[in-house]
Amino acid sequence: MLRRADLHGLVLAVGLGGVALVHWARNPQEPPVVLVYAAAVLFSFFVVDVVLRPKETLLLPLTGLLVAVGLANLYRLRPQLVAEQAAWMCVGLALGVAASRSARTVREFARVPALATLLVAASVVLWGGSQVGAYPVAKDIPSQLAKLLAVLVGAAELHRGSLRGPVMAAWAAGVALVLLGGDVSTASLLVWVGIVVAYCAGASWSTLVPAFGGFLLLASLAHAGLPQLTERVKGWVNPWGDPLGFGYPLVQSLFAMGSGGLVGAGPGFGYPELVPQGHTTFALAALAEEWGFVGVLALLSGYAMWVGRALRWAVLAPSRYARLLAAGAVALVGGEAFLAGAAATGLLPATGAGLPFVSYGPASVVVHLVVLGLLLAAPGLQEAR
Amino acid sequence: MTRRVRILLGIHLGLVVLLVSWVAYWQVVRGPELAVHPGNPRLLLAEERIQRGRVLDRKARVLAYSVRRDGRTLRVYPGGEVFSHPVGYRSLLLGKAGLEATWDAELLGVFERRAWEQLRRRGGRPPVGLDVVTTLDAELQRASWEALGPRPGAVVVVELRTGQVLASVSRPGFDPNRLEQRWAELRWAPGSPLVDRASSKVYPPGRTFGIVVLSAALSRGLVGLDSPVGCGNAAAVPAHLVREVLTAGCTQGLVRLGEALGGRILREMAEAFGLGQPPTGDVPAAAGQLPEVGDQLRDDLTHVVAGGGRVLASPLQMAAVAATLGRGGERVELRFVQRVQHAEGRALERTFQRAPVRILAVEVAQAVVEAMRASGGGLLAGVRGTVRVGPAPVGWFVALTPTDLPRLALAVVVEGAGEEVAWAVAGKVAQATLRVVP
Repeated sequence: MLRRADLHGLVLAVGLGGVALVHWARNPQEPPVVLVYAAAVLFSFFVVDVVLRPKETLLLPLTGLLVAVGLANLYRLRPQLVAEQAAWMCVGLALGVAASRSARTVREFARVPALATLLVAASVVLWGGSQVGAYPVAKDIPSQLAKLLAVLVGAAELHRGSLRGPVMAAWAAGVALVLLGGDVSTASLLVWVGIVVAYCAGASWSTLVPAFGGFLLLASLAHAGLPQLTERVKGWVNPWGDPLGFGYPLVQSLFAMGSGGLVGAGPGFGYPELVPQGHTTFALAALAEEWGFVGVLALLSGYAMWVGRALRWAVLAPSRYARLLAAGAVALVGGEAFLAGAAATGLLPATGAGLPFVSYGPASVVVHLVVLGLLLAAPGLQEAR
Repeated sequence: MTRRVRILLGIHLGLVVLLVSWVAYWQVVRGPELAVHPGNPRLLLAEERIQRGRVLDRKARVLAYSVRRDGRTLRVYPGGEVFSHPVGYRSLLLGKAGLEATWDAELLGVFERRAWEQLRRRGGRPPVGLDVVTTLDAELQRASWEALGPRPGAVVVVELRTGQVLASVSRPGFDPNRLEQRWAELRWAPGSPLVDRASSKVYPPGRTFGIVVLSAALSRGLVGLDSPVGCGNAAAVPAHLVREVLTAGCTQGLVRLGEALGGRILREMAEAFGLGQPPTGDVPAAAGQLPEVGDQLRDDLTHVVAGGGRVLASPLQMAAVAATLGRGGERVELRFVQRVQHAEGRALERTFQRAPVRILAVEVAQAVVEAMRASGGGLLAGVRGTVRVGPAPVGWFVALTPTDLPRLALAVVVEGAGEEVAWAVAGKVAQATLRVVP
């Protein structure tokens, strides 16, 4: 059995190796500052592991690996954003530690106030629109926050009993607001997290199927009604119909994947900058070009391992709350990874979801690391009273 | 709850498998097609990113190189219009021609574009294509250009020992450094400067085809050099010898020899010399034309030696014919490229040259050269010919130099002038070869 330090050493070597390959291929003349950033982030993962000493030994190094992939991709496409993203990763880890330490307190808090916050966040998604540079602050922060709250509220509401009408109504209102704001990925994830947690809590199919069906109906209506979503659907149905217009993102994404082939062009030798939003939504396509199908397979296997490992605690955790928390975290990370991958490959219309831990986005990375922190606390959360 | 979690695990793993197979479909199954899809901008971008290799002459003088300027790759041709044929050009807008076209893959280095190999070798700097070392001699090329003068025409000089083309000039040329700005003008310019007259344009060979006729007659034992032959219309008076049959006054003698041989043998000999096939694969080269059936050639022979008929050959092909004789009857493939090498000089590959093929006995070849000496003059043993292309005369001279122990084969074509002008041009080139070629 590998010790913690061994695992983290392995992740550090692999992660730094990947980033170094990109650096060597792209800017060999410049000093490799990026390696310092990446090393700092990956070392922070080790520090968190030492501080928390979680029962779950694999998730932290595994997440470190995903984060390293994200830094390599970001460095390849937007080198100027790497320092900022690395800083947010460390902030996210610190908040994750805090969340992990205070998981018990959070449980007591997270019922009505959290539900109210979820609604507020959702409404901000609807009306928010301010940007800092290319980053949609007022839309992204509340929508990422809403996802975190969905996990918390779901577990907190359901660990003592079954669904209550008002909670369901508030939840539905939140989803509707987010959907009206045009953020399909957040709305889908709110629904997915809710359904998964409810399913684990023992909800019957007669509740879950109508809920899911209702969401699909609502989402279809939104896609029909909101012009920016109609465009996405058109680009998904037949991207080749207008390869320079609505089909552009998906067509470029498919070109990138096709040019990568089985083993890829090699880091730094492809043209992932041609993929629109290659550092966020379409990260999978950007990575696919230079690292090939082999690289994509490794990345998706990473997510599969993450999901499998986290789901263990949906069975083994000592309290019902902790088990539901683990299920919610899996639904969030797994669902989001699938949405992002499916959008990049044309399996589903683009929703705006990014690959968790990999895609660029300050709020996204912080929220996901907080969820990871909560998940790490799950094995130690005893039944209350 | 355990059962439900298991189902959840199944659902999530199922989604991953779905995604993986979807990616595999686009990357592995459809990948090769998408990679070269016309809408995929990567092919054009790759050309911009790779530092295209250089084209060098036989003494490593640079004929074409690439520089980066304002983020764009610029192709520079120090030789200008003198080397516009056969070096050609490369432009993102206009495509490629000449050596730049036929050696495109090597110049781009696509054989070595595996990223990891490049990464290892170049430490991450942009990939560099391979250098193409040609057989051309810059000095001789320039001398031939000067010798040709302002008239449209072509000069080809071939080294007998190796089959390497030392000079291949076509006038008018164009300035490949200013091609894009002047394209519209060049395309329709009188004298078609974009056509390589040395290798891509074909002319009726006229009396120079007599080399083929004489070779066939001598190798079949039909006649000897000192057999009598009638050169005038009155066949009864054989006032000349076969060794004079290539001279201006004896066209009728060639026709008589040809008719005696028959069309099939003539056609076989012409094919053995390489007429009707491209003489090299190193530059875009015309195949010329031979009549389909030997009898057509026999019936046509009067017209052919008079400068018309259905035989067409490029100067490059006629230089190859002369080279075969100069090598004592061994036909050799002509080459424009010696080797392909890495930028730092390490040779990657010697270009493959087919083994020479003996088509004539040594004595026969020597006898034909002897007849060429009789019809040549000065430094040259060769055959002249004046043919008509449309209303204008075209002068030919196909020769070996120096006369006693030939080292080079020459073919000269001059448009709008007769064979005497072609002969004069060849004389100047021969003078230059004494100076330039050791």
